[in-house]
Amino acid sequence: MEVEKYKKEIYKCIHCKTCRFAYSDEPDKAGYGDYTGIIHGCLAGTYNLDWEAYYNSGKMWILRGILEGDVPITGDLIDIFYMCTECGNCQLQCENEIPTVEIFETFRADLVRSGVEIHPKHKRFTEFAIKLNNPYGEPHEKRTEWFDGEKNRRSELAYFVGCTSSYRLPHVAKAVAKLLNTAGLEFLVSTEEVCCGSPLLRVGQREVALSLAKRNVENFKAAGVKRMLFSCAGCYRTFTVDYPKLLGNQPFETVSVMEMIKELMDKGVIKPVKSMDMTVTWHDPCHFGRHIYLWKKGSGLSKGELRDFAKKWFDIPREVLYSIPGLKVVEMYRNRENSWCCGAGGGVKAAYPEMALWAAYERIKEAKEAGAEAIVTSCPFCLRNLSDAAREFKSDVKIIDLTELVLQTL
Amino acid sequence: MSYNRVTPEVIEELKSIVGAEHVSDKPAVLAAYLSRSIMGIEAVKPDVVVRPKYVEEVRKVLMLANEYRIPVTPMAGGLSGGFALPLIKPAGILLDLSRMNRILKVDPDARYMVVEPGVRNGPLWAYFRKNYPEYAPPIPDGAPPAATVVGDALERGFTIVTNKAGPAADLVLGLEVVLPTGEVVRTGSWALPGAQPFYKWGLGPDFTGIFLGAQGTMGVVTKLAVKIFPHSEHKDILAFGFENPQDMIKATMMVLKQEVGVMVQGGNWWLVPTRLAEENPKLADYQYWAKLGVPLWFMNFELWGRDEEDLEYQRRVVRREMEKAAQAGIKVREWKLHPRQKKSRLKKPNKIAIPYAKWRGAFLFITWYTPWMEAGDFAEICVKKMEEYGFPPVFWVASIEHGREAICMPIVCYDPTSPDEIERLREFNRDTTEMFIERGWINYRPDPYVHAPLMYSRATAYYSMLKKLKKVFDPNGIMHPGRLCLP
Repeated sequence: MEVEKYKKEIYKCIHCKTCRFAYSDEPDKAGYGDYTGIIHGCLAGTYNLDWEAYYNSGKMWILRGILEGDVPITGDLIDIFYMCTECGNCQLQCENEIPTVEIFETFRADLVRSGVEIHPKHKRFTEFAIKLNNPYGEPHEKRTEWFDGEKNRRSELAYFVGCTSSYRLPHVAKAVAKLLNTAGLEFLVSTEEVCCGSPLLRVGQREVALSLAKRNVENFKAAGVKRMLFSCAGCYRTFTVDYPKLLGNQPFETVSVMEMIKELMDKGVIKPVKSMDMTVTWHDPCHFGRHIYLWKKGSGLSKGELRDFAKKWFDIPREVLYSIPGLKVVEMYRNRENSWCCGAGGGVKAAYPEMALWAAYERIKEAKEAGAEAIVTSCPFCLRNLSDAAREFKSDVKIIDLTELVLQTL
Repeated sequence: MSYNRVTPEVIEELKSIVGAEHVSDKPAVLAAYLSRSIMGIEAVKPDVVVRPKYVEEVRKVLMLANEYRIPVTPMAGGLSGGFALPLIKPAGILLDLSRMNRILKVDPDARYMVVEPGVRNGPLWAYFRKNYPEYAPPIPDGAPPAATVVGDALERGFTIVTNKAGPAADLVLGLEVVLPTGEVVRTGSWALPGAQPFYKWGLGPDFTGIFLGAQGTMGVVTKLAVKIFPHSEHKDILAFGFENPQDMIKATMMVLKQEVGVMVQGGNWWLVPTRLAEENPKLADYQYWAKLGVPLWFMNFELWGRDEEDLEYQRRVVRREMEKAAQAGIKVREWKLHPRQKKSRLKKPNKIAIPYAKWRGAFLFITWYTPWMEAGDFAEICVKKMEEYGFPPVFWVASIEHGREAICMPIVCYDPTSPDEIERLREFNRDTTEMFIERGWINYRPDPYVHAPLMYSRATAYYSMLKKLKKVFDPNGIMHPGRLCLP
């Protein structure tokens, strides 16, 4: 099994169970309501009635049992290892720096290879990705249907739209295109774009993900792209963190839509002028936030450098919000690298929709308690799941895309 | 003693008691409870995990197990016990009490709280900061936020106020215990129906102590009444460095006799690098740390003042006694801590003890009680033996009740993937245990293979009486059998 290469790391789990919390090192952190001090931070364990097996610490000991031949590979492992959004909170809290997300993804790939019956929803979206280049089962030719500009226009800047914005939330893609047009930027929307591979990587379908990644890289390289823009956090993480591991360093820079908006504001290209009379809070998508933080941490930054990076990185969307006249910005208790995941990632939204909705509603309650009327974010996965939960649980908290919000103020 | 296996029929009965969703015998779920580190390296999987929420459910589970003669191992947070897991086959029922996590009462006048076994340090601390900021619950110092107050009390561990108030067991005012016979008893003044747990010695002879240190062999503690303490906002840490452990112990005794400080703890310089990765060879060289000001041996004095004036008084006392120690010929210097170091040490609960796994992959705390003035000898033996067995000689010591006793601990950093190294660790434990028991030192949490047999082989009269008492509380011997060499 490939996960054996992480044996040293897996055995470092001393079962302290700290990984289940957010702010595990900030016992005196002030908050509001029941949000104060050290607080639960693991969706999987909390949702699964606190069963140890679903927490990271339990899973490390299960893996140890598997490596020692004490735990058989059976279908029982599917729910335990897949009811997890791979949000990375456990890795963040772990003082022994166990790379939990990598370990889980590697073991999921082992499970796929083992022949154990994987979740039917994951099986289905994998088949769709192979046949149609997207996990939603939509025709490839409809991928850029949302875009009324010139497709495949050669440009150094490419907008990688991603499957969710292309097929499920086209309004997000349209907003990004409008933003770029407003800024007078030329950009490529490619009809050759295929799924970035993120959902496949997360659920252990590595071969399929690799094949998709190769196609994307070849396509955008051939198009002479120097800069790739992402409005999807999952796509951004995959291009930024995973592609270099899978295919080596790429000739294009990756940039998130949050950075792009900030950059355009800093250059004076766009300026929010219309007042917004609303109280909002920012939800940090895991793939834009904590995952990038952990990736930087693993790149050998000193503690001070990491602190500086984190401040700058997590401040980006907040500074955008602060610059909007009239807008009141409040923070949810769990924010930045300690954010509570929306619940959609890691294949959870597809396979365990009730868990995804529960997690999102937890987030909505946290926002409401902070006094927010709306949650602003910039990941279509988060947007979709939070919106679904707001609808399901009849919450009056609005879920807003950052780009769309900014466009309203120009 | 013979025991029966957990059969499918028993599992169905267990499900009918606590609900099907709170019972599991899946191999992976059982493996998730394993732990071979921190407090012990021997553990086996249970046959089934049962997670009751209420006392009545605990009672029914125990009566069922008693009827079928199935072993039961209770677990609070699974941390203070380190490896609160079955030790013999058939492994039986692991009673995971983490769902019993209510803070039932806080009485700021009588200064106690009543909590269930699953109440964890992190959330408990947050609860007090929010609702009773002027009080502190006696959480175990240095234990991670997921550890529990009940586990710590039952293990007779140490708390954030141990130097002032004694070990965690001393803070217990009463217990509610479910026995395998189905009886539910309370101890201390709590034993009198309608009485509050305000007086620990209760109604005539009190048997609270039978359950403290019993490691789940006598019954299942379902409620704990325990003292809480004034929480100061005026805190400081002073640290002093020494050339050797004997000087450290002698000089510290001078301060301890003045009875200041809530927590007094220290050790050798090895405590610093072993929280980092071993790969960098310079970290194992003392000269590197000496340049950064880390003393060979050091002691931290955590001071809580009623106000700034009181805090300043305590600082003066500590410095004055250290000055006297210097005048008496002890080489001592104040180690000026960086504000960040102070902040990290004052944080409760904290993660200070966790990263010792970075050095070799895992670590084991082997904890002993000694008279304070013998802790220097203990340290010298430990350091020598750890080096002899090829382990970095990481040593930690803390004062209990102003130096009436010491809690001493070699922290053995080892490679958990190396069977040879684990065997060497076992040999180190056996070798030192023989020496320590010979000296009259007491193991904090006797393990079933080395500490308990060696200890009871000497204390035969006590062991004989303990077995008789066990029979009274647990006639069929189903409670964590083998754990304390008890049937």
